[in-house]
Amino acid sequence: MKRLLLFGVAVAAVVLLLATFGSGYTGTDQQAVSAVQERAPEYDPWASPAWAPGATTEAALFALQGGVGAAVLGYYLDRLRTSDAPDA
Amino acid sequence: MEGFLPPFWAILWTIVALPFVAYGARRTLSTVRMSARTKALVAVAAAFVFVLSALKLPSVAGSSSHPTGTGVMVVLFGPAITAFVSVIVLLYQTVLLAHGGLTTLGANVTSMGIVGPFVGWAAYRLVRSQLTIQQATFVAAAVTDWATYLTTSLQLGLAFPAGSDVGGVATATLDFAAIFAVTQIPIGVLEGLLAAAMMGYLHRIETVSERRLGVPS
Repeated sequence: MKRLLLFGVAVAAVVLLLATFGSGYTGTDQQAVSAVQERAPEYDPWASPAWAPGATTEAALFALQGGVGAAVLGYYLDRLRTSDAPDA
Repeated sequence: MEGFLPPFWAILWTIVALPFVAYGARRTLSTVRMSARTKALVAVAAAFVFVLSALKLPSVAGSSSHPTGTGVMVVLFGPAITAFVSVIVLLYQTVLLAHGGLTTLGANVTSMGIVGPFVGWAAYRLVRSQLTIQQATFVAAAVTDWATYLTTSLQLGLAFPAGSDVGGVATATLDFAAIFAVTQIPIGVLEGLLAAAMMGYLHRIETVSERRLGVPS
């Protein structure tokens, strides 16, 4: 349990580190939006996100996603490694 | 990208994705119920998608993007279950992170959950007999990633063509593909390496035999 928690925190830290290191980089989604605007300047987006997190919240939520994912990954890998059940 | 796909295309891609997702959901449920072992494998592959798609990777030319993370799922379970898992991941990123969008969900599920995985899975089946499990997984994951972003390019090219004929769509698609390619080619390679390492580990702990890994269920 403690190992899983540590693994989750470690992966969350990697996600945060990458987000910080990559903050100067432009996301390809943003590049695609720019390309659309260049190609069709008169296009009016007909919807917008109801809510968008700030940069810090966004990084934290991505870290949460990575951390929880890693803990679940570790948990089920443990189950697979310790299980003697025949191949299904 | 919320709102950046015209209503016609937003609706069309949603209709395209729906049957695959519904079939994938049924397949996911039956696979999870099959045994504790297949359930654990589904969980591992789905968690792998979650972890990798959380990574925002800086790439060449000052741009960044996310891996799709679907390679392991494609190799273990094929495209159908991948479609269902993609919906969950994309919904999380749309609702909580304002990444993607509800109006582009259908298009994103079609590229990340259906077309990309299907092409990657076909590539896997093609090379599996000649390569080791790790090598074949590398091919599957990298091809899945690239096919996903090529599909996105085509979707954008169709919505915003450079002219009113097929040539206009092709030109626009290539323009969008050029934007993604610079960033996504290295990320696809990295994603292939990570997926191969994951499959190598699963193989080492003898979760699945060499023989079984070639069977998509």
